[in-house]
Amino acid sequence: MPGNNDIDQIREIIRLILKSKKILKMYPPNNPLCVNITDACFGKFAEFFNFSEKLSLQISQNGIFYDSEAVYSNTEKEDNLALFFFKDGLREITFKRGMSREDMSDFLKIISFDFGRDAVDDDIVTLLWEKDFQNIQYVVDEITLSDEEDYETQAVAEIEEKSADEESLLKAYEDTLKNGESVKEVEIAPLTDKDLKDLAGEFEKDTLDKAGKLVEILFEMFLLSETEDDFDDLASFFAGVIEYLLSMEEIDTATGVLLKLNYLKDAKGISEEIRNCSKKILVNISTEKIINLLGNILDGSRKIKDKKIEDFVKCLDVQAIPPLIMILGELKKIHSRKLVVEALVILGRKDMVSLAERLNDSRWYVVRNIIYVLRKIGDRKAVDYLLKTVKHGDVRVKKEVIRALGALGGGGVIQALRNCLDDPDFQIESAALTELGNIGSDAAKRIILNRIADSDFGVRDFEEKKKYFKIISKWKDDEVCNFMADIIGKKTFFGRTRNYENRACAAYCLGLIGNRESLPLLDKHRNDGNKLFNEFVTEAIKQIEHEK
Amino acid sequence: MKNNQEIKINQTARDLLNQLSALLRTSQVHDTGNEAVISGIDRLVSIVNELIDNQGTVRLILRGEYFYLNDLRIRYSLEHLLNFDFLIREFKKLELGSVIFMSNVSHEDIKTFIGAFISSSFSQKPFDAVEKKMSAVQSVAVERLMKIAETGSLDPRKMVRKTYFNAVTYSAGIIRKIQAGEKVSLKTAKRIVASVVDQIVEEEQLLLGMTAIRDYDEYTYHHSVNVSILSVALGQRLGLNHKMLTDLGMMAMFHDIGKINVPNEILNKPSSFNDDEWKIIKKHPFWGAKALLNLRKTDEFSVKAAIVAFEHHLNYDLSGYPKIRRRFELDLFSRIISVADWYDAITSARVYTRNPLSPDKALAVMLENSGTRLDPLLLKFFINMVGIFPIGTIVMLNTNELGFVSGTNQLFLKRPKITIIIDRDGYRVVGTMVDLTEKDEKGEYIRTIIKTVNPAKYKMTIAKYLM
Repeated sequence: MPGNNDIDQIREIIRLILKSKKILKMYPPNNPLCVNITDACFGKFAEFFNFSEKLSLQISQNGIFYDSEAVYSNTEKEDNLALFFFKDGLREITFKRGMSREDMSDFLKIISFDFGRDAVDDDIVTLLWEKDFQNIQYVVDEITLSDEEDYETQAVAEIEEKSADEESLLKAYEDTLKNGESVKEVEIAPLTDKDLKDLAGEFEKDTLDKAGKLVEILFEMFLLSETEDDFDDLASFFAGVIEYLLSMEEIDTATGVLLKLNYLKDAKGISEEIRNCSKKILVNISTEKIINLLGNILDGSRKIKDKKIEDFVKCLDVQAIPPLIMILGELKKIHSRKLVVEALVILGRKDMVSLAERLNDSRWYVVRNIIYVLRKIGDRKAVDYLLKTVKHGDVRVKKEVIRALGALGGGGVIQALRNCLDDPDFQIESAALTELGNIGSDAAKRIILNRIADSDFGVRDFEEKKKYFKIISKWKDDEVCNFMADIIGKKTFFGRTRNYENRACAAYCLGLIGNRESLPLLDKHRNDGNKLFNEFVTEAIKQIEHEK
Repeated sequence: MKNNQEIKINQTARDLLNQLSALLRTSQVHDTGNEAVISGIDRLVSIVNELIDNQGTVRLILRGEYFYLNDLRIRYSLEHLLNFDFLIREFKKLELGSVIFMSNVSHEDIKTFIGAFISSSFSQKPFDAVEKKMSAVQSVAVERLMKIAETGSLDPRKMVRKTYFNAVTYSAGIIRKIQAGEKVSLKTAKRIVASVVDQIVEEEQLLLGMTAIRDYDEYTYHHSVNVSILSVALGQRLGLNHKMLTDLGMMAMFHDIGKINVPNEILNKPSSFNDDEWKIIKKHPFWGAKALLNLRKTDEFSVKAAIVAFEHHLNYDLSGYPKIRRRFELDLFSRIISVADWYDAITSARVYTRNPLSPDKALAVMLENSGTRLDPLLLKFFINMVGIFPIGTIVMLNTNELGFVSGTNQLFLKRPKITIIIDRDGYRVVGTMVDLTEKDEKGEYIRTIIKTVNPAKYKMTIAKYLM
């Protein structure tokens, strides 16, 4: 009989095992709680092994016993450690001295594993078996494996019944004795070291990508398919294998599959069924799930070639646009976001509307990226959507939309940009001004000249004014030159400082225009007494002469 | 698998066993002061320390008939067989299960170990004697020889039979479930295959013997199990690890799943197939891959299993079916299972041929197809495993006795163990087992196989003796 001290120690061990089972289920393995409970458990075992070689626990449905003494009892169905072991057929577990902390940790991980999930193909016995612990042994009752308990008896009876009767056995004996078949000599070459080496080579080859092999088989199955059912199945298998490949971060293989399907969908000399099925697969895989997996790869640590991502995305259906926009706002790496943006440029060309409709996304950075994508696509149909975004609350979005409008041009853009010149934030005004300059139309010129001519213009900050003059210099025509000449020649009594600023800006503009005909006018003011004006005149002359 | 590393470890482990064996033999003749013993110890010290530097703790374990270095089974060729055989016998004699080198060893440590080994073999309790002597050495420990999963108290024959019939029941159940469109769990399959793997290590001959039981219940049920057992046994010979053996056994269990789409009247047809029927039969690899991919979400299992189901009739030279357009190399598991499948199919009475071949003839046919339809290297391993006369072969001996092969002999392939069922006078006897390596006082073999019997011809089965 074990002593009370032993029993107390074992009960404490079981209590700690139960506690570990709960904690390890709740927290990741590196969490201090998990580390501490594993240490505590291992410590208790170590104490026990100071005096005993091994700890053997017998398991029943509602109890755990040590040397016929109950050390754990529970009649409930939930959280019953005994039942947890018992239901998978475990009848005895023995922990032996020599069990390492790593063994302890692995054992606790196994018992805290979530066996309730549908996709799990393991039970506690298979996991213990795979670990092949040297110092944790167990006895299993395999009766739990058999659905039909008396099958063995029935099969044995059937075999007995079919066994040769005495008569046929003796006939076989006599026939063989007289003219039986002589032994067929089979030459058996003994195994050599070369065989073992060749075998090692086989193992090495066999580690090659299995999913890639299945892909090859699926393409062969394409050619072997006959019925609609076959093709439907194949569409689902391809989708499954692509998902699997992405979950394994095998983007190269996945891209290879997509490129091949993309080729097949339009290939000549291929049956219509295969073409349609290929199309169907490419649509079926353009899902949120697949895009999320792609996102994981993009943000993962594995090095990937940008070209592979580009090729992958260009095979997708436009259905992939919303989930791509979704992950765009979630990706952590700048380069990953850049790749998704480029992907959206490719896909957005096939369906600009899906992209533009996402401009109401609540995340400003996503909206900015979509605007960028629309600008890159260059489809003027986007302007209507972009115009609605001009009044976006975030200045970064506004700037991007102004840039896009400038690049796309078209109806309504000039008016929108003119409105932006009234924006209280000069960043917006400046962006709109730049785009008006880029558009370069007469209407744009008129807007800018009118602004400069406005009575309030003179009181603005010098740098802001200078920006206007810089932009207007893009129109290198007489109207602008004359406009500048008028400003330079203008003298006032009141507000002379502001006027000198305007004149300096006009000189700056003429310098940028670079028209030699402006030189006499500028020369005339070379020695003007105002330092600022003088500097800009001198600089403009230099610039024009330098251009010569 | 970490192949290069494993190959290197396996080589060093083989050196370790050879050196230990040589050292023990030398030490049985000379004392530990002898020059040959001293240099032998030094060589062993060097090998052990090299392994410790690479592996940390080094466990040399005897399980069944195999040595393992930590988790890796040590593979060896025929030239080393005698050394290995000697060491296995010595370990068993001492009831020694494991030798654990925990840290770098010195010349003195190994000297003590060899001394303990030699002197304890004469003790009443040899293991206890070794253990006591080794308690003084910090860096080396020993453990008693144990049966895997502590099943020593149970009758191994019954255990094997239970595993086998559990597997057949499972196989039948899975087919019925798939046919009914029900959800299939692989937990049980994994448990069953795990038992098969354990028993292949412990009781290879008994379990292989079970595969010779045929012609009861549906062919498909026990064919899948037989192929699984034969594949795992071959995989074990090839040195696959635990995980790979389980995978292999599982794939083999499901390799013919496509046959559920073949109408029963074709599958169970008592005569040979016509062209149309063959066309349908040849679709089963395609259907099998489909069934397995439909079984569950694409994962490691379904990927590997679908590959095997599709490839197992393609043949090594891809001349088989289904016809493929692009050439690719067959998966290793497909080739292993293909060998096992061939063997079980041509020795059974239900498919390909309605006239099954006796095991020795089956091997001859398989050898004719070596390098074309079957992988020559794997076939070589397979034949070395099952022997010239595989378990279940019915044989006539030169003593005019009739019996069947009930155990093979790795060293003398032509001289297996035979269970006699009719004696030299033509009387029925109840299974006496004889060993064909037995010699008389003149040094001549007492019994030799001269003829084999085709059991199908006489509708005879030796199944009841194999269970």
